[in-house]
This record gives sequence, structure tokens and C-alpha cells, in this order.
Amino acid sequence: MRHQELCQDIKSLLLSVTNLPANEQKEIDNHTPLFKGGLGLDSIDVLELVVSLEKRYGVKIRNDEKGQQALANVASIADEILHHQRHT
Amino acid sequence: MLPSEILVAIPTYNNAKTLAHVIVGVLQKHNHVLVIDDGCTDETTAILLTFDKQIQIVRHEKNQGKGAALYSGFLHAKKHGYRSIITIDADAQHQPQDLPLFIEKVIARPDALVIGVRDMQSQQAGFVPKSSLFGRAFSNFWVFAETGRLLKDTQSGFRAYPVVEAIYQGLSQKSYAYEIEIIVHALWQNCSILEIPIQVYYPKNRISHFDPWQDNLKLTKLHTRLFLMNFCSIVSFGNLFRTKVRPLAINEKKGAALLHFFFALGGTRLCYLLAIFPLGFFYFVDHQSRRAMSSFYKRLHIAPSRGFRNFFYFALSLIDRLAICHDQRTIKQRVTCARNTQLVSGSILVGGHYGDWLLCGLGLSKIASVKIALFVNQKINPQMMQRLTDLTQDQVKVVFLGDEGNNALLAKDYLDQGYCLGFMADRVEGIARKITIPFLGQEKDFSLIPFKIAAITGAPLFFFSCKKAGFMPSSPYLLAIKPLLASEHEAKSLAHCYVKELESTVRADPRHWFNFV
Repeated sequence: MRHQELCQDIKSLLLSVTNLPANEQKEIDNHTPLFKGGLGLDSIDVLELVVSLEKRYGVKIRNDEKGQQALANVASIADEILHHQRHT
Repeated sequence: MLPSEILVAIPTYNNAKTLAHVIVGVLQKHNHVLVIDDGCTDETTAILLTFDKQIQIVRHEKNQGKGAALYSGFLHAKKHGYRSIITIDADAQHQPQDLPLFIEKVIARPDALVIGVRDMQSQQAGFVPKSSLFGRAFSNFWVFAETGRLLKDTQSGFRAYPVVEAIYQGLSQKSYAYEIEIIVHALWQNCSILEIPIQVYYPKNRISHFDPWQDNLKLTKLHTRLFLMNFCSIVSFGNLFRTKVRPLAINEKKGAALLHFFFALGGTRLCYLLAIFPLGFFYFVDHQSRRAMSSFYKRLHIAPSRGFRNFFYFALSLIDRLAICHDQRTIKQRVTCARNTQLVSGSILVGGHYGDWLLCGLGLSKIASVKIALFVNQKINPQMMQRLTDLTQDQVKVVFLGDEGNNALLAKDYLDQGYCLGFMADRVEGIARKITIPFLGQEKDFSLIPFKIAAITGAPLFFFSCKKAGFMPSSPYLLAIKPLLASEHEAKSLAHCYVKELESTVRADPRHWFNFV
């Protein structure tokens, strides 16, 4: 799957697991930060997203520095999934 | 620090006879002088006028107490950019000649609280009332019990304070007790305290507004409260009190020196005997907690006076926690599992402030080869947590569930490693995800976090509690674990199921409900 398609997929996943207000849904681009200064997701939202990603793509994102970097924005999540797919 | 950044403050209430003498003495040693007129009704106003622009004045319309006057002084100092305040009493018991000692000390150590230790034994001290000597020894002892630091004169009003917000926040007293409270808070906040010897003079007809009954009662109440705050913090039960300031960086050994001493001397038995008295007394002085307990019993249609039993069992539980500090393996033996439930790895356990959750951790470590991570809402005594981990041979860990970052993700990491997670869901301080559910006929907020985690990860959900059966030092703790709804349900249904279980547990034996808020 190409990066761009993957990003679209992640965005729809993000919308399904979090209850973002309608006006914010339109504003998500690949580089919008997921946490502070961006979508402002809380830790439960992130858990929901991580579990969904794990189910769909088999990628495990942990609570470590690498995991934090992967969860910076939609593009970085896509990078992590592509990296995971290349190595499995 | 420059001398011009130091303010000398003189709080006064009807000391017209001595005030002018004190101000003149102070002005000879320092230019920045503030007089706080705490609603004086004598000739104070006229006296202050004679000093014109030599002094700064803050006036209270009504008398509010020495603590309130000192706090006004602090606000004034902060507003005008002073970095330190030296306070001196207006009754002329202190000698302005000692001021340079303070100024020198403050310039060298601007971060420290400096206390002038009055030499009450010297011949120059004049007519020192016996009650003052006793009062000083009494306060010194209690400050030691609350902080582990034995100071020589905790009642001295001649002091230097750094103008730092943290020390002043959350102080509850407006009277003389304020001066004691501020010392304890400063020590809890790791502020250095230095002592310097000073002279004192008590004239024969000294005017003091210290009311031996009222003020001693206030001091006793304050000490009881501070002692218990310290004790609760040592054994990681700090959440009990509604206060902004807690003993933060407290050293367990130092902080509970007195209790540890008694524990070493006579073990649990002696501590049961000794600690019951202040805790029983606490029942009579902490109105908020008592009111919360009365309301709890009213909702159960039981006489509100029964609330005393909860304070009693709570006291016993605090002392049993002290046993964890002392690495008493017998405490582990005393926790028994009431139901033979198979606990599977990767489960989520939810409890409440019913019985003792730390001892729950000890009990859980005995039932199976599962590892436990107890998630807490606030940072608690790290040494205590380490003891628990050591005592259970790394089987039980305590993890801080912060309100920032990826802590739900941290919970998942633990689940993935096969840990069972323990949560308290009946308190919501610092929790963003809450749910309101009727509990004992009244709407109450609960944390939604553990139920969300269970719903998202599909981890099995259990209710757990651990209560003391009996009131003897040897009485066992009974650990109960009960499976709740399967976690295919959504978080809200899980939370409702938990509250139902909590309510039936509480109704069956209300004595162990320790949620005093």
C-alpha cells in the first residue's frame, strides 16, 4: 500500500475511534500533531488508535521513545506501518 | 541579595505602648519597614502617623489574627519586589539589635527560612511565663513528629521568610497557629530552615493577645491534622485530605521518625495503642471528613455516629501499612484470599477506597504466579512503593497514572507483558474521563479509565477489595476478587456493573469505606 493511501486509511481509523468535532475532522492533514497543539488526543484515544492499528496492520506501537515518535502525526504512523511491513 | 530587597514587617494588634519603641529600634537598623495594623482599636493609628513616610503601612479594617496579618505582609512584599521578609513582634519581646544577624543570614542564604531561637533561660529574659516555656516545648515536639526535624523554637515570631509562593500556598490558619503551619509546610516543601540565637525580654505586664484556651485549642487541632497528613503521606494515603499542599519530597525515615521509633520499640501492638488516640481525636476535629461519613451512613439508613468505626478501621489500616515500611513479612501472611478465584494474566482489577488497596496488592501476590501493576492517580511515597515491590519479590509494582502523555498506552504495555492491572475508580482527582453513576442513592463521579482500557483491549475485568476481619493486631485481611461483566461490553456498562458491585460490598459491611471526601 502506498504512503498516501495508508494516510487516508489511518485518518478514517482516527475518526472512527475518536469523537472529534466535525470542524476538526476536515482539518486533519498528514502532519497535524495528534497531541498538544494539534488534535489534542488524550491517552485513552491513543490507546484506542494503537489497538485498532495493531488489529488492522499487525503493527505494535509501544509506550517508548520510538512509539512516541511514531504517534506524532498521521504521516509518521504510516511510516511506522510501512517500516513494519517491510520487515515482516 | 541586597539589603534593600529585605522588608522588616511588624504585625501589630493593640500594642500602642510598645509599638513606637519597636519601630524606632528597627528603623535604626533597616530602612525598609512595614507595619501591619491588624485592625487596632487603640492609639496605633496616631502613632503610625508620627512616622510619616519612614514606614510602609498595611491596614486591616477588622482584626483578623496574626496569621492573616503575616499573609498580608507577604502579599505586600511580593507586590513591591522584596525577596525576603523579616518579622518581629510589636510587643517589644524581641531586640532590634538582633536584626543585623538576620540580615547577614538572609543575604548569605536567601532561600532559607531563618528562625530566631529565644534565649528564655537567661537573666535578661525578664518574666518568662511558664506557659510560654511549655507551649514552646509542646510545639517543638509536634513539629518533630510531623517533619522529623527537631527545631529549638517553633513559636518564635522573630523570623526571616523567603518570599516564595510555595510555602504560603494552602495554609489554613489565620491565628498564631499560622506560624507553626508555615514551618511544617516549608519543611515539607524541602525549604531549608536555619536557626540563630536571639535575645528576648518579657516585661512584667506584657500585652499578649495569645488566648491560652482558644489558641491552644487551635494549635492542638492543627497539630493533629498535620501529624495525620504526614502519617498518611508516609503510608501513601495522602489523597484523604482536601488540601493543596502535601508532604511532597518527604523522607519516609525522617518524616515518621516518631512512629518508626514506636514501631521499632513495640511493633504493631504498641502503635495500635498509641495511634488510636490521635486518630480518634481526628474524628472530632476534621469536620469535613466527619460530615462526609455522616452523610454516607444516612444514605445507608444507619445512625451517622457509626462513622466513628470507619475512622477506627482506617487507623488500623494505616498502622498495618507501616508494617510494610518495616518489611514485616508477617503482614504478608495476614492477608488471606477469601474466594478461590482464578486470576488470569492480563486482567484488569478495579477497586475503591474500601479497605486497604495496598494490602490488596500484597494479597494478590500470594494467589497465583501473576504479576500486578497497581495504577495510582497521584505520586505517592516512592520508598513505600519500593518496600511493597521488595516484599512481594517484584511481583507487585505501583505505577503513577499521570494525566499527561501515553499512560493508557503504558497500561497496555503492562497488559502485553502479562501483568494484571489494579485501579481505584471511586476518586476522580486529576482524571479527565469520568462517568456519573448513582451510588447509594446519590449521583457520584467515577473514573472511566479502567473500563475504557478493559473495553478497548478486551482484558477480563474483576472487582477487588481487601478488608480487615477484626480489630486485633493479628486480625487477618480478607482479599476478595469477583469477576465482573465480560469486557466485550462497552466501558459505560462495565462501569455500571462495577458500581453495583461496589455498592453491594459497601452495604454488606460499611465499616471499611475509607473514601472520606
